[in-house]
Amino acid sequence: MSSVITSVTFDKTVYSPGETITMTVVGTWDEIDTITVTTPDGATGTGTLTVTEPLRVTDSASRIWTLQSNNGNTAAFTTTA
Amino acid sequence: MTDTVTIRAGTANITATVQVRVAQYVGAMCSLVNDCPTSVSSWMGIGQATFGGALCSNKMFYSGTQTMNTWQSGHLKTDNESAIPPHSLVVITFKDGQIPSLPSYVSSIPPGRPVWMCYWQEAEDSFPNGDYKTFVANFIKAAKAIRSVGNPNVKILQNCAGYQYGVNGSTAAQGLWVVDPEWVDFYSIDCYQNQAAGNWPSQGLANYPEFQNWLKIFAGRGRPLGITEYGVNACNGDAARNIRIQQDCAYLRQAFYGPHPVSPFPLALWQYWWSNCSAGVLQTSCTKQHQFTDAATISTWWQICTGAL
Repeated sequence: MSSVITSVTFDKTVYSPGETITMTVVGTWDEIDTITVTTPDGATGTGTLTVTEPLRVTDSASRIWTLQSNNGNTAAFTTTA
Repeated sequence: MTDTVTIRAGTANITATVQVRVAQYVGAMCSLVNDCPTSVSSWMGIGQATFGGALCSNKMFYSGTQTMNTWQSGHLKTDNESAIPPHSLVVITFKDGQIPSLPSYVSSIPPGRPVWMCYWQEAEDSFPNGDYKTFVANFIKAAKAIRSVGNPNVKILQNCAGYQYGVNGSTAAQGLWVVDPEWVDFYSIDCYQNQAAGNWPSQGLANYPEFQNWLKIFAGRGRPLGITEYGVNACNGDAARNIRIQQDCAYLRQAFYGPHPVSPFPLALWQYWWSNCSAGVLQTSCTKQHQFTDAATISTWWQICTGAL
């Protein structure tokens, strides 16, 4: 599936240092895929795979953004201002 | 300062910006242009009009026999703290004459309203006979009166006079005016670059002895810091003043949020003395004129208030 990010919004326009910043990202991206694995001896099994390319956030101020929720179309991150 | 946040999903990406103020509260004390005194009416009128409504703090002065009754009745009829928007910080300074009224005044402050109460601001410069022991004793007495009310949004501030911290060997420089943090929620300094033309500290706050010495004395006491009054005088012209304010903003960001912060807390407050009025007198010397009116410097302080710088 091809990912698309359509918007990013913040819960405030200006923050004070120490405040919590909440960022909401909207679009379409892979969340969880289901795969079937066939082993060399012919046994099969089904499980879930969390994709290795989730949303990634980088910040010029080196803040650490923590993912709070993600349903594949909307994700919320928080950090400290 | 405007920071850039980039979000990526696979090959898709988007960039956004987030603005964080250099201090939790950024504001100014305001007067009409070339007029006295600073006042709430000027803060709400010309001040907010000049700075695009971005001021979020103010400082007010009760002294002498001025009545301190209730928050609602206010300082003076034309200078009423209750008129300031509720999200803004109000610093209230008072002296001995107001201490008996503190419980009733503090009780009247509306819930959630951020207020810092300060006994005898700039005591190092003006307390009678330089009697720091009496100052500290009176400060604690006032703090007890304020805390007896139990109004959680009302905090206690020790507001220092910067000048004395730049005088080698002064009682201030020796740390003798420090009130124990048990009785203080915030420490602040009033700090002006008031030197004649060519004599400002070469790097502003970054190498200003009075500011740096004050930091050494107060930063390690487990309480957040603020700059209750800040001003750069007119002696080197508007352009130089504008650059200096920007330099000081950059320095404060580095000092408080850089790799080796001077304090474990964010800078709590930064307020400009946007007036040529000092101690109730309109100043005619450039050394004590701090009220810029040029568009570039107005824009600078507005950007500092909004977090763009």
